[in-house]
Amino acid sequence: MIYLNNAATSFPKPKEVQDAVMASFSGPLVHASRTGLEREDDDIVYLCRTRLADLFNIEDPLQIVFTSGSTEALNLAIKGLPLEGGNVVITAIEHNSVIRPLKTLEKEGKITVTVVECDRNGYVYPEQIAEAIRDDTRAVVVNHCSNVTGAVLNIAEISKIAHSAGAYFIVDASQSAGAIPIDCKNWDIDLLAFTGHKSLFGIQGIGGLYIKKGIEPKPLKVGGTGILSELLLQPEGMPIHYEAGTPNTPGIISLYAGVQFLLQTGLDKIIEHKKKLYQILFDELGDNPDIEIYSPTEHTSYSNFCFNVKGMVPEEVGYVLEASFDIWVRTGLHCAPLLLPYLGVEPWGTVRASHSYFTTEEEIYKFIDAVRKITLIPKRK
Amino acid sequence: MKVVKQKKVDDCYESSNTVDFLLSAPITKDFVEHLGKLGKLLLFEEFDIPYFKVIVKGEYTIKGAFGRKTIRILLPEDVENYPLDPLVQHIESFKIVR
Repeated sequence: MIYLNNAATSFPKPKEVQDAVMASFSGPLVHASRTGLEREDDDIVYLCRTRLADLFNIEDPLQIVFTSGSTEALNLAIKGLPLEGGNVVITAIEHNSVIRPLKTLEKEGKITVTVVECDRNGYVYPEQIAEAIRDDTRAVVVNHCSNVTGAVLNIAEISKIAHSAGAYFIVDASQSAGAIPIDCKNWDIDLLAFTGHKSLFGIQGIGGLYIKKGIEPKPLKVGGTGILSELLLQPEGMPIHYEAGTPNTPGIISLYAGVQFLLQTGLDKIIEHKKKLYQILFDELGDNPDIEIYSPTEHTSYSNFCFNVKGMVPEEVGYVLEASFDIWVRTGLHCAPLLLPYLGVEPWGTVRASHSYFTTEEEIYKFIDAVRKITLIPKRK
Repeated sequence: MKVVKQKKVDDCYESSNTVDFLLSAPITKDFVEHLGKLGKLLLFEEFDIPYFKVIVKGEYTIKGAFGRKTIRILLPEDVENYPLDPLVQHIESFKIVR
């Protein structure tokens, strides 16, 4: 099998991650604060926060809250901040994990939502966001990297725009975390949501939210914390204020191993490899008259090759790739429904092939060969 | 050939109109030709694993690949409302020669 669906979830995981997860089942996963000092995994939860802080340039690791993934993190940010009575600016490249919580609030009459357009590659110019901001804009929520085309937005610039309007700045880093550099401190990000199971190489069910000091969204959930049990209300400290319930320790262990792998390998090296594969895709398929490419050649994560075979619905292209060539991609709307009209791909969406650090050149050439053969299938008129 | 299982495909789009059939045996060229009696057969034998489509005009499209045990059927309307029994009967009328 050739796996080109890493934008959905990464596969394979580094061996270090597999080993760490398997090892986690060799003993009881009890709360770190209750175990002896000889247990090596005592501080794994804190160590994971520190490695994430290194990766995202966050000064205080305790400002990172673990969640089940980006969706929970974004729900916590969006539902926890005082947005009621105001406007929220988003972009056309947002994922449903942003769109749906905001549209739900809008339906309840609590907020209004403004959607900023993108170009045909999914790029949003910062000045367009500036133009969309209103007097009552309370937050700007943007996708750092499109999960469809791989377009990467200028977060530093958008941050300045949001803050000059006095709005919260929330970044969805689901696709960018572990794929491209993120700098929470210098980009002055208020809240950053990330998932662990994509480019951070963890398992599914773990993610997190960075919350800048001084910003205090209401928690999504309250309950047991394993410590300070005498309190009848949720403890106030970070990150426990937001982490009620038994932590996903196997997930955190996997995330720690994944981030360690990233830091030890070097993000530059990972990006360089993906860029090389991306270049091959454009060199080989870029001028093919039967193929329409939506991914950009600049402002890109080099991870997603988003395309259609002219005259064919993407579902069929994906089906043939899997059934006849054992190549796994993703087809359809990719949970980003606002983007479709800007790419001109309504109603069927696109094919998305997303490679990873573990994808080989040989696999990419097999994919290219398969796509060329698929273009021979008779087209719809 | 038996239809062992039917599964409505849940994906981003056109999902309510798509159903997969799990078959009791791998797909052979003879079986594909049997399906081809229903409409227009398109065969792509140059693919790594040969691919086929059977277009039954105004009804549905069947697609699959040799050696697999699943075929996909794209229907003109929701799976729940579409009578699939005639197609199942046609599939199950195919005798596997061992």
